[in-house]
Amino acid sequence: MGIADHFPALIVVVLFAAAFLSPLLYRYAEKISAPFVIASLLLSLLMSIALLVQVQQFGPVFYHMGGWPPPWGIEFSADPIRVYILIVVTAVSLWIFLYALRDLKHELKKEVIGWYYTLYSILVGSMAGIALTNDLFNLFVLMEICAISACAIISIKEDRECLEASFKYLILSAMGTGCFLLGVAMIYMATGYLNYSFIQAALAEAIVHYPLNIFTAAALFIVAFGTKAALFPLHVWLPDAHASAPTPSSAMLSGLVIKIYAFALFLMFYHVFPRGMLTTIPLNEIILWMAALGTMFGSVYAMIQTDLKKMLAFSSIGQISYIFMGIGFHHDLALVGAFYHIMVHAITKALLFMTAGVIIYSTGVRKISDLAGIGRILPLTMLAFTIGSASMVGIPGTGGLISKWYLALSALEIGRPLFVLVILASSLLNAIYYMPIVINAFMHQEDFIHEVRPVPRYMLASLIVGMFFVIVTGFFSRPVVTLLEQAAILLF
Amino acid sequence: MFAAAPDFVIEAGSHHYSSIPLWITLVPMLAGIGIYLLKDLWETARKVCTLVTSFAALVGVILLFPFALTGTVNYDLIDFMQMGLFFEVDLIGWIFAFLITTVWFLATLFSFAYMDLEHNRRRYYSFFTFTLGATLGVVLAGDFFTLFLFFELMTLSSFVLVIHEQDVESMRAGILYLYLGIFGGLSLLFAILMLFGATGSVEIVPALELLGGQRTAIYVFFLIGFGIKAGLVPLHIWLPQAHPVAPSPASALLSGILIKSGAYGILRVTLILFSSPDQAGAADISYLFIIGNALMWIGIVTMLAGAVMALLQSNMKRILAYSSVSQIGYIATALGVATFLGIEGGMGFAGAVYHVINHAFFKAGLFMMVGTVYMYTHELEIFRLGGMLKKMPLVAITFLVAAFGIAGIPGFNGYPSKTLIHDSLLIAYRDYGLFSLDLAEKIFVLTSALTICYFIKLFRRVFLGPVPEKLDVSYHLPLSVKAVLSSFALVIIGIGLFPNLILERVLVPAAEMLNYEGYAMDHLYHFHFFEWHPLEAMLIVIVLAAVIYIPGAYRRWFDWKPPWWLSVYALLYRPVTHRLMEVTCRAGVFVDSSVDTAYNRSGSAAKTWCTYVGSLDSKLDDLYEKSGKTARKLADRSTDMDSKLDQFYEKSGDMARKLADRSTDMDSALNEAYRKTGEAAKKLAEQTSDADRKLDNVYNKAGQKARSQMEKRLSEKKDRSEGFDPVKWTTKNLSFDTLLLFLVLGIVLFVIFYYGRTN
Repeated sequence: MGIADHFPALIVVVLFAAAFLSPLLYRYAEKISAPFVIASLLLSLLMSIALLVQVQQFGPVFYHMGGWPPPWGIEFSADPIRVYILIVVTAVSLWIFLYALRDLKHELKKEVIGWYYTLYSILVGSMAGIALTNDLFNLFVLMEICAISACAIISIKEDRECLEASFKYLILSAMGTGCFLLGVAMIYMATGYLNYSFIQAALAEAIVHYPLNIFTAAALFIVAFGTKAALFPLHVWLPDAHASAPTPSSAMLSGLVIKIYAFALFLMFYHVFPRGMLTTIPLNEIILWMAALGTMFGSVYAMIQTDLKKMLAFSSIGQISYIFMGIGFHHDLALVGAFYHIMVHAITKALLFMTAGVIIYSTGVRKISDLAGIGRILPLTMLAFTIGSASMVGIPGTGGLISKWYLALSALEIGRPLFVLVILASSLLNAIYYMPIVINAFMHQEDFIHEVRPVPRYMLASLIVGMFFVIVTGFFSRPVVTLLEQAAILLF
Repeated sequence: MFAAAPDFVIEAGSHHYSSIPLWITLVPMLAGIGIYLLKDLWETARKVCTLVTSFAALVGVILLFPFALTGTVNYDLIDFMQMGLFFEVDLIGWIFAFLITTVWFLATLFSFAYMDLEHNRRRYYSFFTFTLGATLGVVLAGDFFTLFLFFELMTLSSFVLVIHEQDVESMRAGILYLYLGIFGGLSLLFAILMLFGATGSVEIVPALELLGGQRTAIYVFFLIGFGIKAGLVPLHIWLPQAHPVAPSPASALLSGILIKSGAYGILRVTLILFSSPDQAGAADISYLFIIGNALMWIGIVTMLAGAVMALLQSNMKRILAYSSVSQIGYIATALGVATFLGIEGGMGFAGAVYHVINHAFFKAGLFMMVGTVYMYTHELEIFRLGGMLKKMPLVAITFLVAAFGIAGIPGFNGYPSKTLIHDSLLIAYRDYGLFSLDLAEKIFVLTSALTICYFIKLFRRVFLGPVPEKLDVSYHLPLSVKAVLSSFALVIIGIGLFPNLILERVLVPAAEMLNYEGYAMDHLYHFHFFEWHPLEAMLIVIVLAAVIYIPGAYRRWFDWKPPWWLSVYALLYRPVTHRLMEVTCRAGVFVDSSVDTAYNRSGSAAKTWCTYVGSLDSKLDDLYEKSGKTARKLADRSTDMDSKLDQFYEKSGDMARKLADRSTDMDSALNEAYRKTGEAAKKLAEQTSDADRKLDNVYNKAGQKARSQMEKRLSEKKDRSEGFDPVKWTTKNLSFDTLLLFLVLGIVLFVIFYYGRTN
């Protein structure tokens, strides 16, 4: 066995190893600690890309931990969609980390930065694990790791709001994980397996004998992942947590963490439950309606915010709903739209949080109404904000349009034009709260009144990278969409 | 220029593959970005760049003419943005493109003189040039998706031109423009999506029979999307606000060109997508009659409302803006007539396109003439102007020419197009004999008369009469302004004197591409504009105008300000937006208040719980006390027993005492031990009751604290609900969140079980 065969496990292992080494390095060799984390993130990104090539050439890869075969041992599996998510996770977190290097010095105490690196690597590693694992209990463990490290990168700032928000997040996400564990127990009781593939095979028969167990498990999964991914009525923890956290954490949480749970729900729907189940029981219908409400209410709530980061956090609720909507449509084009939106929104929301971070760093302003005229002082930053908001609204030339296009198309394909209207109306609502900020920033008559300190080039460079990718996803979507189309068609 | 064209032989299906359309759109856009990057000092370089770009676009469009005349020019970038970018230039698109580039070139020249007095020129020139590319893209697009892309780009970039002044008025107008533009764009996108869903393609080809049951919805959304840009009543409200606030050359383009992109879209949708003159089935004819009639009546209402509103304005640019609304009504009417006449619709089509051309020239010209007046006087109110004929004779003369053009005086360019539209209405009335069509024709005549009236009003107030003292200085117009205004006047007169030139060279071939036949087309080949019949109609209009204007001016009818509640905004938009906001807010408040009650409920529950704990506490306290007493009694009893045992020992015999000497020793030790335990027990009991009391205190305090906190919370909550602060809508209570989680779980379980049971 060559080293390439171990890539699925190595991606996670490298990140966890980096997590444990970085505080030591930070203590004794501070200069190389950040490059070390960057190197590990880059390494896992490269391995993910190599894995993609491998998967595309030779088909799905199954990796058995320690050589133990599946029903007993833990199995990692890599198919095109999982590897796609893996690449999005590693690439975006590498980019956010580059931004964080400069921002953290401003937001955190010096001695905890090494620990931040640890938490960050653990978080990325656990997300990579969630994307790859093929085992329910392993998923549970990784979800707990992910939740705890996510809480920790909020509360590491140690002010009152962060502590309160992360405590709330911790409790609610523990409730979610509890629901999930209960669901896993139900399924284990009915089938005797924890491996996805085995469960899927066994459930086809087990559902006849233990229908109540399986139904309850399905409901528990929806609530569990809905809570963790902030699906509309269960979103209550998100705004505080995402708005009060240090900026890189906000970008990470809004950009990637909530999406990985949406992806996990997708895995449950398509890889754990038997194929007929989605059509006979309205699981996707429930998701669909919650998501449709979420797109509306997320935007309505965002509209009345006065704090910039809070507005961005509420906007995430609306945007994650698009992804759930894509899962709920139960159609291959919709899945393409949803997965494309995972990438687009990860980039866009991270970009927007970064611009908010730059604005706070440079001027200390958080209130939206105080941003009037800021475009003339920080033109590049506000240009990034403009491009980001254009993508949120779905203006042509940005990635946001492509995902909405596919979602709308599939809504028409399944004969429900109502949801096209929902998508378009929510785009209009997005425009109503994003556009005034942009217009005020550039076109306000009076000058910006607050003190401004120069923005480090490092931060601006990350913003430029973000803008570049928002536009690239808008114009050159063909390769990714082809990949997703090929993968999605196999699921139906 | 037209003479240079080769003999026009229509070779159907001749496609010419060329990248010129791409470059025509791309070069101005890139140049626009480039101009923004030029430094503020390089004013001349910027001007040269702007001019060269608009000239290059003009040349590019002219190069396309031979190919457009014989077929189409195609170009595609399939991998671009998922749907691909397709260009297809046919004769109709070419006419619009030529119009755009010509007027843009003249407006560029005019800008140089005008903008020298304005601020923020870098941004202006940059977006001015960028908008040219986007607008050209709209008319050169080969499918609806490409068209939509350029349409959005055009909306966004022209927004910057609208708010150029950045004062309160222009910001308000600009934001209205932007919101309606985005709304229009979204409804356009919806229409395109539905089209794609129904037919599987977004090409602009006849597809009426493929659209199925959704065709009316598709048409309505298309009409809203393009109608907002075109300014059809009642979607026109942004237009009279946005066009006057922009700098004059930009207003000229907004009114002369940009609204035409909406008209272009309506034309493509109604005449190409929705009709198929060559293969129209019987069922489709009745359907087309309905949508054509609807479009025609929207046009008629737009035309009349615009003219009436223009008559009542006192701001020069506002008069012209309302006049644009009215003229777009003419175009929409002609398109509607062309739609329901089917293959006989050639006249309506030719009239519409001809009017697009003419309106572009005279309205852009008029805005620039008015702009010249404004440039030197800084005055837009007609009541504070006057006598400009003496001060700026050239402007006055060219203005008169353009006004004759728009009024439809024979010999000027409005006349042939209005005649064609009028004739198409007459043909429709002849074919169908409906009263409504007769009425439409009468309204058309009335509107034409009103048009003459408001131009008499405008000309009289601005150019005739005494010169106000403040403005009584001598003005020197720069050469570029003179040249631009004169060339507009020359074009207007040129088209007016030789109306058949454009008709036969361009419009008839374009109409043939759409497969129009029959009486109307025969007529079009050699239309005699200077015959008694069309001249008579024009004469009636002029007489009617005189009949309206003379008493109107005498009795000051036209100074009447319509009350605010009569405006479309007050009648339609405000109620709708209010209702919408109300519903949204209600929903928000409902959620919030239910959260609130949940808070209150949970608060009161906590309170009862606290009292319960308190009472439990006191009971526990009693229990402790009692147990203390018992312990004491027990201790007493044990001492009693002790002494009794002692006595018993004493009473036992002396022998026994001797024997028991050691044992008594032991005994007394035991005794002492007993006593000590008793005391210890007593102490313990005392201590317990002490601790007990302390605990009790702590409990009481905690209870009180919890209670007071709860009360504080509740009162805070009450304050908040009185001075309601929507920012604090975020739900913060953890117990409530958990409750919510389980509520959702319950609902999901219920739904799943409900459906699972039936399966």
